[in-house]
Amino acid sequence: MKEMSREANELVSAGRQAFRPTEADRARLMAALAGGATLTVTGAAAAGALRPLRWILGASHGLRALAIALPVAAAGSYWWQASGRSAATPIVQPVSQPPAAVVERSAISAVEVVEERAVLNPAPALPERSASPAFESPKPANGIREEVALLSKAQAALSRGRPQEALEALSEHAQRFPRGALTEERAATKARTLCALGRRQEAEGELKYIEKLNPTSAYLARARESCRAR
Amino acid sequence: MATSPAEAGDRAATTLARTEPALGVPSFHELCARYFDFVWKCARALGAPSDETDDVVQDVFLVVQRRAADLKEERLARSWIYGIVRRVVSSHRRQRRDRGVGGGEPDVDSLSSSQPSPFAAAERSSEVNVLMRLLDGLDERKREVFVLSEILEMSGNEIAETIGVPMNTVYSRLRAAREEFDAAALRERKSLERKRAL
Repeated sequence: MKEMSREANELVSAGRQAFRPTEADRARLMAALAGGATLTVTGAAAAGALRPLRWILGASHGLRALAIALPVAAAGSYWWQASGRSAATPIVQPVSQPPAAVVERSAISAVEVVEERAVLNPAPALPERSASPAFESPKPANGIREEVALLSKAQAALSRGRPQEALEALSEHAQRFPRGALTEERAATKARTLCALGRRQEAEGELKYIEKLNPTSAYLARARESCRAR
Repeated sequence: MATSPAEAGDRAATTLARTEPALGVPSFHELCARYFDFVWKCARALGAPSDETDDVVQDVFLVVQRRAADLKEERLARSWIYGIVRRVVSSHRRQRRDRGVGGGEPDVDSLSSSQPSPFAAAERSSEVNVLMRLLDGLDERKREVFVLSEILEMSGNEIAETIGVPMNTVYSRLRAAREEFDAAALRERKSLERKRAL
């Protein structure tokens, strides 16, 4: 392939340098993500948001300490890992093994949050995020998180054996976000939902649609498997 | 709402089951650690406004977290995550345009914090602005192979796997993208020289 000019190479080289995250970027975001991941296990499961501060403020003292400690530990662990001293160590406690107190909170509110907040308040206020300056300025509603909230509601309904409810959430998603960022995810959940309802032909149509959107979609295998199992 | 312990336990199990990846697939935390840099670089190079990069990265991992259970094979992870980045960036740019803030246009505050001096920083920010403008000039398909090849320094095989197209397609798009980019870079240089001469 023909070499590019010096001018073009200089621009590319500037991009390689400028588009790299700094250590501060990594630490800030990894801590925020660890906080969000803890939340999913602990209770604000969907409503499609990483909302550590809101949850921390509403939690008991013990859980509050845990919620603060985990992201901090996560950030520390990440650097430990990044420095090559513990390459195989997970950043935070694995999602599959939450502490007992965390499970307790999850038990109380996880599905309720999905059902009530996401449904009753389809356009939730932006969650508080990390304390970085980037999050301080007021921002307009974030469509992605609203999309995630609706799809989470559908998934929650499907896993509780209520495919009709799931279908309603998916229809709402399609109506509100016809050109949304999570169209592929919606189609995958819809295919599984239709299979759960025994509407295999329609499910097949959704699978074909996913294939058209993205022939190598990671969702195809799961959706097909889920349909075969029924 | 009153909840019995048994119901509560079921709900907790349901919640956890939804977030657990398939056997042999990395956990959410492992995905974060492995793909953080990839997500960040892709987001920036695909045109995420610098003041929204944190939001874009968090949104990407939010989707990853909620859908991790759908990932059946580890080898699909990068391609899957890349697809999410592309769509999330596109959504942010669209929202920005709708708000009238501009089409995710280049910005001078997009530099990493390791700037050696104000002069070098200014020079680099100008280069980054030009780069972003030239990338915006490429169509989406050419832009993505160019970015993955030139900025993220991925091989043809890796790109083909990531975007799910045959190798020949990758190379033909890349060849066309490099030619367009090169010609635009030379035009840019000439235009700058003309301005300096005035």
